[in-house]
Amino acid sequence: MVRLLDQTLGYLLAVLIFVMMTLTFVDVVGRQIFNSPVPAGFEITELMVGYTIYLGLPLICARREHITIGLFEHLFKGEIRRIQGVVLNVLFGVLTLIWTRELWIHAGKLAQHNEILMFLKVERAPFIYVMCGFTLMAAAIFFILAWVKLREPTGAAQGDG
Amino acid sequence: MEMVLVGFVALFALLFLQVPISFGMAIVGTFGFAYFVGLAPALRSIGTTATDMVMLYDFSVLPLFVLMGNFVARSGISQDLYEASNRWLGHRRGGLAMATIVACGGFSAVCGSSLATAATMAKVAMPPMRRFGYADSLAAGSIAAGGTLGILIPPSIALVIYGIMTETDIGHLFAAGIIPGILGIFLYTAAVAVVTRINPELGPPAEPAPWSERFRSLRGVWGMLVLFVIVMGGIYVGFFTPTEAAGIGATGAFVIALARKTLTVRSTMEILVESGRTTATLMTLLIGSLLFTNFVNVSRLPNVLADWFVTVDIPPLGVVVICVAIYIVLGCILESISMMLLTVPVFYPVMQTLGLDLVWFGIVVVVVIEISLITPPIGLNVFVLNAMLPDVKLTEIFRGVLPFVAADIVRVALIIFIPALSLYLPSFMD
Repeated sequence: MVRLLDQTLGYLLAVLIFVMMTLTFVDVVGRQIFNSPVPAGFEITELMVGYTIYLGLPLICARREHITIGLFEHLFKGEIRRIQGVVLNVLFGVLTLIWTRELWIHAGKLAQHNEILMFLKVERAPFIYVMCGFTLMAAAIFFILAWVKLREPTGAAQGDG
Repeated sequence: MEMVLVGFVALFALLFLQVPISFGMAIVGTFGFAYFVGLAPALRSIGTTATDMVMLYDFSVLPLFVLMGNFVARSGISQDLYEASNRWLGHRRGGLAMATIVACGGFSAVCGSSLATAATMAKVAMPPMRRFGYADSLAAGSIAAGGTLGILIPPSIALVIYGIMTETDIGHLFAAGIIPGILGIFLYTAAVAVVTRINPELGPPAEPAPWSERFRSLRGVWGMLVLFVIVMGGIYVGFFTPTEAAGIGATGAFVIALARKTLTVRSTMEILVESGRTTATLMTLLIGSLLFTNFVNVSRLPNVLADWFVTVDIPPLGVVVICVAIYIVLGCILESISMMLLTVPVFYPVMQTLGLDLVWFGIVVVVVIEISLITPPIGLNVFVLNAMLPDVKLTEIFRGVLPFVAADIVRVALIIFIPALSLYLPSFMD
């Protein structure tokens, strides 16, 4: 299940980045040579930048790719490291839930004001609501990581916090 | 003001407890901001910062340049670059180490990441240097130091992030990075020359290559050269914006890698996903930094600092030297991009108030954080080398980078006291 999710998000991210590259290339060539840029290319790119962050978020959370200061890592060993891993993952889970809530509120406001994308002529709010799904996924990953740390046999804790 | 100090102490405490830098800055930034404006508005700022402030067209420059670097790294061009540099320089004392530096510089011109440069060149440059009896310290040191050129020579991810944070023109920053980057290559090769003059056994000369072979070796690097000229030349003459150039550069690197038959469907997917993940990591750091900036700005710390510098009558250049000293100390605990994201919101308004040029200051910042990549205790490039060459001791690599650190200190001084080194090329742009 986790592997499938990881692969699916990875494929989506790969397609997104490739489309962003192609779109920018076609847009530049169209603008500079044929004087005809891709219609709404600007807005589509903006959406893709947002989705690169939010599609990538669960992946970097699962792989623990957030940048930490490694200098003091060795100070946390054994049982202390295990407890630290549990506490920090719960904390990150809660923070990511707050992030989700704030995105949801923001999307609600956009919906309320009926904000639309100027060239695509569609509402902005649904795009943000979908992003909430990805942050929720990231929060779930943190809670799973905390659970895994909690279940780890005492003295075997070697992983990253 | 006291609140800001509390904020910084809290931030470093969180970082010490292994909280990721992005989360640390977001937590302190949000609560610090809440102290001044109330909890509800501070929380609401998360929603807008994490969407409206990062979903910008210009920010696509980041994933696209990351992608360009990853395609270039996979294209195998590093081998040809090294071969060419080697043919031209290998016969000198320490020539292979010099060739490594020049190849790193060339590779940096199409790859914006120091770590990628160091990791890629380690595979290519270390075996021949060992074959010719080079000391491990000089061989590994030249790769680790040469890799740092990637952070400054455009396209540079660090300059892109600095440009985004300070709203400085990325095209001007790229142009400003060229001469200091070339100066870096020159000073690093000079460092190799000095070291091997003192102790010739560290880097014995190889057989000189015939001139025909030297010119033939350039054939393998023309594609990369064309790509650099199109990307940087296009930005410089105003034909492309940096974002457009990034799209052209990434596509060009993709085509070069395809033409060199180094891509499979699987490796292309890996490169795309890796570029996406790197972007997400950098952008979450940026979101954390923007939340932290809200707090720094509302606390008026930059204004207080600027006023204080004026009151105690420290000349603007003295302030820059103080900033450099702070960066060197912080470089002992923080990773380079994080250090920039944390400090630039405080420093750049101060520089603005003191009437200093933000493009020039950006180059100073990036060169100084470059040094942190090779200095103990957390010189990341040194660790990359150590991971790739487990038989070379960490202390040996750190000893090997010392002459290059000295060269870097000379370079920072030159850049600070001769601003034209950075500002001459941008002065011809619109």
